[in-house]
Amino acid sequence: MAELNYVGKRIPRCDAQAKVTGRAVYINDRKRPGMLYGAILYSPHPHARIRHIDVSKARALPGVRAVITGEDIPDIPLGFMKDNRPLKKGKVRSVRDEVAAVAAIDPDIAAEALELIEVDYEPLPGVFTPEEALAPDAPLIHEVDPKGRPRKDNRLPLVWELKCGDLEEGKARSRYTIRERFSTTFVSHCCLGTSGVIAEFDLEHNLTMYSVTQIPFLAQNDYRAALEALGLKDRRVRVVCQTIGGGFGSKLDTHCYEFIAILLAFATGKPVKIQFSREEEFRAQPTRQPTLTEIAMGCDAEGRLTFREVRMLLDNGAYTSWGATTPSVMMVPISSLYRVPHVYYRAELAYTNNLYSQAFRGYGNPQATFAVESAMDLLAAEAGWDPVEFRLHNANQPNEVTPQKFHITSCGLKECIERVRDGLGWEEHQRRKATGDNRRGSKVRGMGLASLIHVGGGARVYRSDGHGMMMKLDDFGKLSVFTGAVEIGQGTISTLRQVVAECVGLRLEDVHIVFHDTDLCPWDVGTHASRQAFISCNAALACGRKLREKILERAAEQLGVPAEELELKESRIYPRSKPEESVPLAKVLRRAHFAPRGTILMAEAFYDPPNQMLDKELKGNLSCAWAFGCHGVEVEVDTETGQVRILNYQAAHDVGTALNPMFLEGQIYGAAVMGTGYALTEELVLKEGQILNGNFTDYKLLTAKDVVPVTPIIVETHDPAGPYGAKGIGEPGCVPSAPAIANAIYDAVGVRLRDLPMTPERLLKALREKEKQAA
Amino acid sequence: MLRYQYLRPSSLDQALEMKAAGGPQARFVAGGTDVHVLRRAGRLEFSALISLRRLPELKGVRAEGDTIRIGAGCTLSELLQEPLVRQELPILCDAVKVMGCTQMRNLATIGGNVMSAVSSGDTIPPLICLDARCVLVSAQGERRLPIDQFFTGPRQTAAREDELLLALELPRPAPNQGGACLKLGRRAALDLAVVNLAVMLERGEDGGIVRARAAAGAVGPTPLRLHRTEAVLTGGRPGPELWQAAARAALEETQPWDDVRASRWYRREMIKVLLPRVIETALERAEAKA
Amino acid sequence: MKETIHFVLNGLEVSAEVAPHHSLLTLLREQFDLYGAKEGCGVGECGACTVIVDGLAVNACLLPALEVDGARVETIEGLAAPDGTLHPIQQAFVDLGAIQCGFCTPGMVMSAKALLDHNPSPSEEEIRTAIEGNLCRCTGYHQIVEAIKHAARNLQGTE
Repeated sequence: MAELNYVGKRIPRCDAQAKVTGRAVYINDRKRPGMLYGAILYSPHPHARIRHIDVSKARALPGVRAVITGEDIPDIPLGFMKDNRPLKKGKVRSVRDEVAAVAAIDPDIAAEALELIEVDYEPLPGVFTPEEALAPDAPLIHEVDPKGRPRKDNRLPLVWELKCGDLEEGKARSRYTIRERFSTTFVSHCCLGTSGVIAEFDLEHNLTMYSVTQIPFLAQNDYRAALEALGLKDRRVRVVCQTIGGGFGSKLDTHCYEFIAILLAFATGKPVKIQFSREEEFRAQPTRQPTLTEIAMGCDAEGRLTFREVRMLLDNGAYTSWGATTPSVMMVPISSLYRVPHVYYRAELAYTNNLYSQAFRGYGNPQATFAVESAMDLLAAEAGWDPVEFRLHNANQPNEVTPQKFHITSCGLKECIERVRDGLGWEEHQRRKATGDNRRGSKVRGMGLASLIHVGGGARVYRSDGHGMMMKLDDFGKLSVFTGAVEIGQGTISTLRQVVAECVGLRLEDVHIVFHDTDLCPWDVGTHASRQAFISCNAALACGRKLREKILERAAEQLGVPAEELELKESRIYPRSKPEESVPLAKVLRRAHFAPRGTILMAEAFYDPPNQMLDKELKGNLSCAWAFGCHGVEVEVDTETGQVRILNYQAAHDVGTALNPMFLEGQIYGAAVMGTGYALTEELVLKEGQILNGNFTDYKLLTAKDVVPVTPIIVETHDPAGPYGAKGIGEPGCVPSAPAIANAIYDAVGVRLRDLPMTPERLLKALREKEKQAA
Repeated sequence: MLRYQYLRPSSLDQALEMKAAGGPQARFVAGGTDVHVLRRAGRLEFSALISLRRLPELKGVRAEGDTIRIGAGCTLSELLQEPLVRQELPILCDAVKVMGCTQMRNLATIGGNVMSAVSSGDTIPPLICLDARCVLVSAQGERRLPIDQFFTGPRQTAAREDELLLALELPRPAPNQGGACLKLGRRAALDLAVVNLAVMLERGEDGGIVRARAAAGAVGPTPLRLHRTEAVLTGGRPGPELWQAAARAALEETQPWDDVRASRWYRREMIKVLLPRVIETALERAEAKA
Repeated sequence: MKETIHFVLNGLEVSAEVAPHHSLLTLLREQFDLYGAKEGCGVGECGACTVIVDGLAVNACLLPALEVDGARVETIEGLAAPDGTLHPIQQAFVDLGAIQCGFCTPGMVMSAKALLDHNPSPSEEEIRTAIEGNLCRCTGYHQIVEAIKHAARNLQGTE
């Protein structure tokens, strides 16, 4: 690549100053004049009929401006299957069900008002596992479907089924086969910034939402539908994004609390803020999708994978959010991680009285890869292959089409695996293991690895995967870039700034990104699917090219030099043959502006990537580029306590190109630690539908003292479709952690843990079982 | 939303007067790292809080002859910096080092940890092993209670309603005594114990154990002194057999339960596994001093 | 019943009327418009509200506002120089990629400052102990630890 000024450099974030001085304004900090404080009353029961709600005492409390229940509001169907409502009517189906809400002049009064609301419940028997929910006599959680038709069971009318090749043929060709089951459970995003929103109407009932959404433009649709239900047709909806205190997918759906804020704002005529407490965040922010997985996999006598058969039963919780669609991404590793010709996948969902699930970094990929990559090690052992060799032998290669019709272009999987193997000291470890040198007293060391495939070039999960961008230059050479991207902490805005400066030819400090207002910014489908750098920077290339042409056209006129001979670099323009004759861009712009029939320079582009929606068979090239990676872990297991210490964590990622290595490493470190927590310590414990540990005391996030020594390895394959060759990284970093650790534990102590998290207690139990069986 | 008075006495006498005036609904508070969490959760109500933060009478760690006196108002951070504590009470340092986090240790006091009387209170097993006495004071005067008899139930102590904990007094450990404490948690900071084990041993000239103290936390309704375990260890020949016997005794006299942090089964297994480790460390420390 | 307290806030003598149940966090945010310290959990389990009181890092959500009467309080807003020059710890966070969503950042920086004010050459273990009460969901802590090491060297003049 030609010498670059900004792309590929470790340039600090453009919002770092604001954040490090305490000036950045999060929703927690935002206030609006005349603002009221909203608070929500949740159900204490996982399943109950609402016999009666008495809000009279709450309404009478001085300082309370509105109290609403499900009976007071129009019907606003919410969620992917429209089976949810902002406030529940008639019955509650989980402990996160919103039953009533108040708006008051301060948060303390709002909290007091909640205590004065009297709800008469008739508790109903609940079901708390998908199996229970599907038993013949199970109580119905939803008596009718979203169209009002009676339901006969708790099964969701949503079955995911993927068939690639011929499963029976794949089985017939297998010399070795394994079959195993795995499970993953509820985990929470634990964004440090809790959720919140301010809903504000103007005098004509146009709505502004001061929001933390990751999908401002799709959210507009949902808010508009709510306004229509309120009888407000054809109003404008504006979403103003605040600095977001963490996303990880938790802001990809429009949540009940947002609509409650709208309803309270409508009822009071004032802006209403709802701000979650941490307890509320655990309770009412949907979790990662739990899974129950059965997997069978086979290979032939030469160690080539023949088939992969995966069946899942998913706990849908009481209502449907994006969790129910995670199978669409679980398919990615199931069909396409390594070359496997025959694939079958089926996922079914059942309503339960548990919490429901939403998008969470990886969107099902971590759950599926836990099964797939654990199974790979099982199969490797069965077939007598070293786990590294087995993976290299079956690794995806560049320029292949997978059974699900993904067009792999750039692919650095092999290099990732090899570098992880080397970084771990895999060969040396095998030698030590052979002589028992990996043991010292009760401590045993083991190594394991796991790979990943994920979308890396956008993902057409909606009718458009596009991104609009506008650019305008002012008279001083300052460029404003209007983008539909949302900054959730990953550094996408700063990366975009680098790319814009690079491709237009400006100094970095002359580029300013405007991204926080749907009134100003063009449409983008959302900050999800690790797509933002790929998509927004490609949009920038398209838009920037147009702008640059316009600039050089003007300059050509003014300087009397053909445009093709002009260079624009660091905000100066000069003939390539005479760089000493450079003029500042600002001068060219002013001359163009302040002249008869003058002009100012702007450009726009809508970049919609050439990927495909999955067809009826759920096949198609979902993404323009595919991200690969491999994580390898060395663990030390204390066989007496079951504790696992991570000694070495190698995280290799094929990122196409590192647009900013510092941000990339940040994503890899952060995701690896998140993945390690997922593997070893995190679990939102539900018992009979009640949350037992919805707080930071007992929900175990890893602290700075829980050292995970991560070595990020950046592999650059320079993807042809990516901006400067870049692919996505936001999610891949937490996808293979759990299976890598599970495989390392197996390597150490010969125990296969199949349920996350792999707590010391579970490991110890399994070790004892193994000892008993050996005896 | 609890409304209450917040009183800030500047002397012990003033504090006791305020308590006498406020009655049972007035509550002493020091660091507040427990009280405010409970209040927020709606689990504690009071009409007034009497802050002990400024009372000089509650501060300081002093050696008075053969006794070490630890002011109940010493914060956990202060304890870790006290030379007397670092040099002579490593068993207590073991426990304090891994409590909460730096910010919490800057506020929380040893007195508060003792008076919270939770089974997993980290300072308590070491204090039991150190034969600490609770020095309680009220308008009626002072009295002392051995700490191993101080806890009467979950979050319940033998202190009278009008008493505050003034100090902890303990005999200065002898040169041939060594102690160690181990906290098993689920992560390396901000953690409540799954099991707390503390052991203090006095080593005889022939290397045998002439005296033992053992205590456990989070394995019963209160922190427990392990009398039977001590009996097994006293006079015993150090070695794996003795450690197993001690562990068996500890299992007999503890009653762990299932909760969200761990199961009864796991806690029992950890007593078996970890008690020998704590004993060995205590013995090493006793030997090192000799 | 409100009481008036007097204390030093980021080097300035100030006073405020506070209610008994107000935490220092509420006081800073609501009365002084200092939003840097955040409520991440309200129970001292996340460190997002960390400020320095009389030289010690504390969770402002747990400390009653009345307790800072007569004390010296430092918040993130007091770190940069009046002309905007960042404190070396802040600059290190910026330069080494230690900030992502930024919600934990003010608390993290204040914990680091409290450490370096007392221990100018901390080991990595001491750094991690100083920030063990500051949860971060974005960074995995690595770049934060490196930034604090870097700031320590800078402050010592060895960079």
